[in-house]
Formats: sequence, structure tokens, C-alpha cells
Amino acid sequence: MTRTFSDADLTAYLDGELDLASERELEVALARDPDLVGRLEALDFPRDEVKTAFDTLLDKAPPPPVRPKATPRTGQFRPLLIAASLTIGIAIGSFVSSPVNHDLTDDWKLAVANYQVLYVTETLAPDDPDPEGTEARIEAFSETLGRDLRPALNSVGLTFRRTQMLGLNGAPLVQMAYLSEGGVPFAICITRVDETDYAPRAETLIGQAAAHWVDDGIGFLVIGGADEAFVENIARDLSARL
Amino acid sequence: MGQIIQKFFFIGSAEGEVRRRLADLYPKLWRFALTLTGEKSRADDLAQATALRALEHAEKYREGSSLDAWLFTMARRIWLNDMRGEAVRRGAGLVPVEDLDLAALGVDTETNIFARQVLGKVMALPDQQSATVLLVYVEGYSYREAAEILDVPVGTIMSRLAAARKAIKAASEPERSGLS
Repeated sequence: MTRTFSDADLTAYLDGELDLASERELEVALARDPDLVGRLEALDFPRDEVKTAFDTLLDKAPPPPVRPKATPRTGQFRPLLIAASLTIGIAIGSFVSSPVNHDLTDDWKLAVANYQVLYVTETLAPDDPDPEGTEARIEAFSETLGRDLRPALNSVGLTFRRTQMLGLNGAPLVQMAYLSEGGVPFAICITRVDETDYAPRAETLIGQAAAHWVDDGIGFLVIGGADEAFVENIARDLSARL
Repeated sequence: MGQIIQKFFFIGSAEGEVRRRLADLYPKLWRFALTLTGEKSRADDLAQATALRALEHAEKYREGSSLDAWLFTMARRIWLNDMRGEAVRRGAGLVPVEDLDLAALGVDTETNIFARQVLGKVMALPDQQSATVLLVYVEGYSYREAAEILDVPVGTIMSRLAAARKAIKAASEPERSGLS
């Protein structure tokens, strides 16, 4: 009985991946069957030309992410800066290909976005919030930033999970983390910025829905999930209350 | 915090290798991301996210194994588990691109016409066929290695490459005869 060869078999033959016994069988069949030869030829092309074509893409790649410089700093935020650098792991400024052109004033938001993209439901699910500890931390953080952050404990459609102080380039950055009803992680981050005020603006950062605004030298960022309208709604609510 | 700082100052040699070589491998990682996503901005995001996760989990890299394959496997997981669903929800990613926008990639007209033709046709292939072509015909992985990276049976690699070969050959024949 004569064996039939599929296109996948012929491809494996051309690629040198067919086992020896099958290869011998195929070569015998090729010697007898012009149609099979035609099928083989219809699959044959120079592999090196595909490689050459794809190699033209290598110098089109964006620059690799660069880790933040761990230059020694003095002050209370150095340990936090190291932790943030490790967690964030990459620096900013290399997102030349993002849909929106970012300048240096956007750096803190991109740093947050890179951090937030690692969050999954389990990141925030394990522990119940500690009300007393949370209250004390929020008060301390509010004092550090000169802005009462307590209203952010209650956000539309989100359940508060925890807050922590991070640092970026020596500046304090407060992160408040939440889960939506569907278990999607969200964060509201606050830091001092050198920008004029603006109302909430929607933007996609590292594939996540985000909205940010500046009020009296304080920058706010809401980020998480993919529902832009949901994030905008939170931003509008918080910008009115914070 | 103590553990984190310790980790920062006393990284193992496997972690060190990841950190040292990531920048050099980044263009290849991005190119692989491009074949998975079919679109430049998503490839940028996927490559970034993969690099981030590689740095975070550098201690899991097994020294002496293929760092390229480790990164490609990670990128494939991130794309399928974390990013593709979102791309689909946003109305992209389900339908294969009919033709990659090579101009957006900066592949200019000076690039050999056949190379542009091949790139366009390979990138238009559906269902990870373009990623399979890249791994086997460009990166030089065996069928078995490509199957491990993409987490599919070897038979799937064979059938994808057969379909890809047909498409590439069919596309290249008229172009070649036109050029001759």
C-alpha cells in the first residue's frame, strides 16, 4: 500500500524535520509521482530570503527599556525609591512608539502604568484592609503631600484595598489600590508635579485605561482595566472631591 | 524591604545574565511581539511588558538555557493571557491583519521589493502562523523547540508552516516573474 504524504509532511521534508524512514519513503514516491513533485515545488522557497526580509525589522525596534539609575540619594525616600525601581524595573522615556507623545512631565504616570500592569486580582485580594492602619497611613500621606486624601477611600464602583508610599526620583508618590466588583485591580496615584492645572484627561497607558489631572501642584492618576468610561467617571468624581 | 534590598545587591548569575543581555535581545523580542500582535503599538507594549516581567522574574531563568526562548515564551504567555483579550475587546486582534503597515514600521521603499512582499504576506498569516514562521525560518528553532515556545503540538507547527509556505510561495511567484 502506497503511503500518502500531506503538505505538512512535505514541509517537514523541506525543513529537514522528517524522520529518516519517512524521508526515504517520500523520496521513493517523488521519483515515481510527478504530481507529488509539483506539490513539493509549490511549497518550496528560499528560507534565507525570509530571514533576510525579517532582519530588516531589527533596526526598527524601539529602544529597550532602561532601568532607573540607582544613584545614591539622601532623604527618607531612598529605600522607597529602590523598592519602586525594582518593582517598576524599567524606566520611562523609551515609549517613543506609544500612541500619545509623552514628554518628561508624563514620566511619573508611565512609571505608575508600568507598575500597575503587573497587578492581578490576587495582588490585592489576600488581606482585608486594616482600618486603623489605613487611617493612620492616609493621614500621614495626606500631610506629606499637603492634600487630604481621605475622600479617595470611597470611589465609585471600587473597593479600597490598601495604600502605600512609593517614591520616584526622590519625590513621594502615594498609591491607593482598589478592586472593582469584577476583581479588576485599579490604582489612584498622587504626587507633586510642576504643571499647571488641568481637568481630567483620558489616556491609554501601557494598554490600561487611565485618566489624570493636576490641581494646585498635585498630579492625580486613575488607572486600571480597559473600560475608559469607567475610569473617566472615577476621575470626574474624585477630582470634584479631592 | 530587607529582602528586596538584598535582592538588589546580591543578584545571582542567572539574573545577571538576564539583565546584561536583555538590551541586546530586545530587537528580536520586539520582532517576535510584532508577529504575535500584528501591530506596531501593541508590539511595543508587549515587548515592554515582557522585558518588565523578565526583570521581575529574572531569578527564574535557568542559566545556560536559551534566554531568547525564555523571553519568547514569556511574551507569548503575556500576549495570550493578559493582552490579547483586551485587544479583542477593543475591536482588534481577532481578525488577522490583511497587510502589515510597513510604512508605519519605517520599512522604506529602499528595502528590497521581495523582502517587503515576504514581510507583508507573512505578517498577514492568521493564528500565530507568522510567529511560527519567525521562530523556525528566521530564528532557526527546530519544530520541537518552536512547539514548546508556542505551547502547541509539533503537528500544529508542521501544519502552520505548510500553510505559510503555500501563501509565501504563491505570493512570491508573480512578484519574482515580474521582476525578472
